[in-house]
Amino acid sequence: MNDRTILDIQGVTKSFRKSKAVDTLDLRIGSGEIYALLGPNGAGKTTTINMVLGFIEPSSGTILVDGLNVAENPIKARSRIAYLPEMVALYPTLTGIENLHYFALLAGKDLDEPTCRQLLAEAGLQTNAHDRRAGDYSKGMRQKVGVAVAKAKDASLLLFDEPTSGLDPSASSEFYAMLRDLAGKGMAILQTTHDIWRVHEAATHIGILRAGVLVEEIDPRSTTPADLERIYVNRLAA
Amino acid sequence: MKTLGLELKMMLRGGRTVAAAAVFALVMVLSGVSSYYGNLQGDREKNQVAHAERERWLHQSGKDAHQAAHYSIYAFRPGAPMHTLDPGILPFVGQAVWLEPHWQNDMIYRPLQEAEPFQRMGIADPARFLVEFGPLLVFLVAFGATAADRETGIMRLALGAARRPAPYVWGKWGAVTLFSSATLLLPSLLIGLGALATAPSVDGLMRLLAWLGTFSVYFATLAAIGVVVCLNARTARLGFAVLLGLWAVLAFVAPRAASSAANQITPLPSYAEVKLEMEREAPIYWSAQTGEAQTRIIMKRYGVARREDLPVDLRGALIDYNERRSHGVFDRILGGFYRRVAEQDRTFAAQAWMSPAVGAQALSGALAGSDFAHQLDFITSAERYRRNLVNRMNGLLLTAQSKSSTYKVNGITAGDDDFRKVPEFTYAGPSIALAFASIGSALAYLLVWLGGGLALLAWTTRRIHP
Repeated sequence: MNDRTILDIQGVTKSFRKSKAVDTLDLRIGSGEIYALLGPNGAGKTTTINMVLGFIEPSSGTILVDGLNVAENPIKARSRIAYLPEMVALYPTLTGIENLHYFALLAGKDLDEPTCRQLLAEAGLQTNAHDRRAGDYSKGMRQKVGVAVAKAKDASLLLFDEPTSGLDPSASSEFYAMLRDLAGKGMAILQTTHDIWRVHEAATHIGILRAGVLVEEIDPRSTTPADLERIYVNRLAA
Repeated sequence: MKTLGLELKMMLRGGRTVAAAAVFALVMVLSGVSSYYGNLQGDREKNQVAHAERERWLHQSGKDAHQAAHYSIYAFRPGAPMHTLDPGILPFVGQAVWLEPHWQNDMIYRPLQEAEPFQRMGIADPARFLVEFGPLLVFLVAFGATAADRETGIMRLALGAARRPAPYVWGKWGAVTLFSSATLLLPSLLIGLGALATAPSVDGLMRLLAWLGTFSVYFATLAAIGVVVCLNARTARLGFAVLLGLWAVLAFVAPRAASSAANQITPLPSYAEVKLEMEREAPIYWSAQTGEAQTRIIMKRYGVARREDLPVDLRGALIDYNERRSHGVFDRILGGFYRRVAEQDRTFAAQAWMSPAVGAQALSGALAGSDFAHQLDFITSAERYRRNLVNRMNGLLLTAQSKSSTYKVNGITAGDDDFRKVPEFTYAGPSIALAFASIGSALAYLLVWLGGGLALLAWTTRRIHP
């Protein structure tokens, strides 16, 4: 674990009526770490991200982002977080540049056009797409704009909710390369995913979530992708 | 506020929003142009007839002064530029009054009697269109700008990216307000300036600016309501249904409820009863018995015991006595009725707590000078002129050289010089201060509505989540 903890989830539980979506979750991510949260649909991955963002409140437990309690300072805490949802939706009548400018403004960054172009290019969006309206973009292109938005915020914690779902292998590979690059710059990254093979390449820590419970934490350096898949399947079957 | 610029860009590129705005702007232009030419023609006709009336008065040839007073004249209420934007009650009330002795006549010649079909439908009135259909455009624009954000997932990205939700929420509100106001008020501004060019005045300009300001506040309030509903509704369909319901309630149900409430709180007496009471207390004709009693009063006033000793013409004195006595009756009974109508209007304005549409409607008529308070100001002015004219003619009777101690017509007692001495009737209309004096509560409530809308927006920024 890195010296500087960016995300600290302490005993967090989220109940919806009688069922627990997340149960006594403890999780820490330090600066420069990539934590991949694996789990089937309904395991509580997105609920965890929603609680970190302050979109929903935990039933119990504490979430600290850069030392800020999310429940007490949701807006301040969110200012330290950049977020990429599973389905990046953009304003279809705005161009890629304009979408990035708009969301960056919300993030408190008034970017000039060259900076917008640079961020989009770094995120992998082809130059000739920058001035096209986002209504014509593929999912992968929207995802790249979303990544540019997240980078623009210059946050200390990045939350990616199944970021490579629906991307082709090449786009997925580009995405993980960028993820490692961001971690190399000191950002803490929490991503939820089903992509065991890619995660094994990129993540520094892997957690398996089942029915809201963190059932296993794995160091990917100590396992092979095949072992990881076996552990994952066994844990889900247990 | 750069998000505001991008929000506006989205609206301008959104085909459905622009199409809806174009239709609304077109209706505004059509209703404004129709109203403008209707007023222009009406004013031209009124000016022509008023001029002919004055000529007829001046050249009526010498006659008995009382008969000359009966020959009399029409007073026309001149149009004002702002009547183009909001004719208010004017289509339903008279534009002219026949000024004659003994009686304060009702106003006649209602514009609605000869209105074209488009005007008779009611939508030829720009202000009414703004009050009733303006909210629909504002809500459509608000829906287009916000409702899809939750379902498409844009709100998730936006709130995830945002340091604070405030720029997202306030940007939406600002853009909806600006886009709707520009669509609906730019045509109003052009029409208003066009109308003002026909009779430029500082008061007219101030009224136009205050009128535009009123509707800006109205639309800003509605934009806040629309954005709050759309951002908080779980689905776009639910948000749309709520907005349609709110439109019906705020623009149609509440103003009618406010009118009923005003009628319950400040009921009006029957106008037929009012007229009967006036006729009872100030009859046009009097009996021989009443005439005798009044003659005695007049003799006592002049300190004489015999009619022959009266220093004035008896008929003139009797007519003058009854005329002046009727003034008090009219002021008390008819004036009381009019004051009650004005009070009912103020009561209606005070119901603006029910809906900002009530406040906008009350303020619009008052600022345009087409509400009852302004009509009453004209009625009062015309009545003052009538009394001066009749008193002046009666004065000629009283001092006639061929005075008589019996009640009879004494030949020609008024000539061209006397007619010329009666100044021409002119009416300038009151200043904008009258508008604010009569419906201050509507303004206060409209601002409270805006404050409430902004408070709801602030609340939304704190609790909004995708």
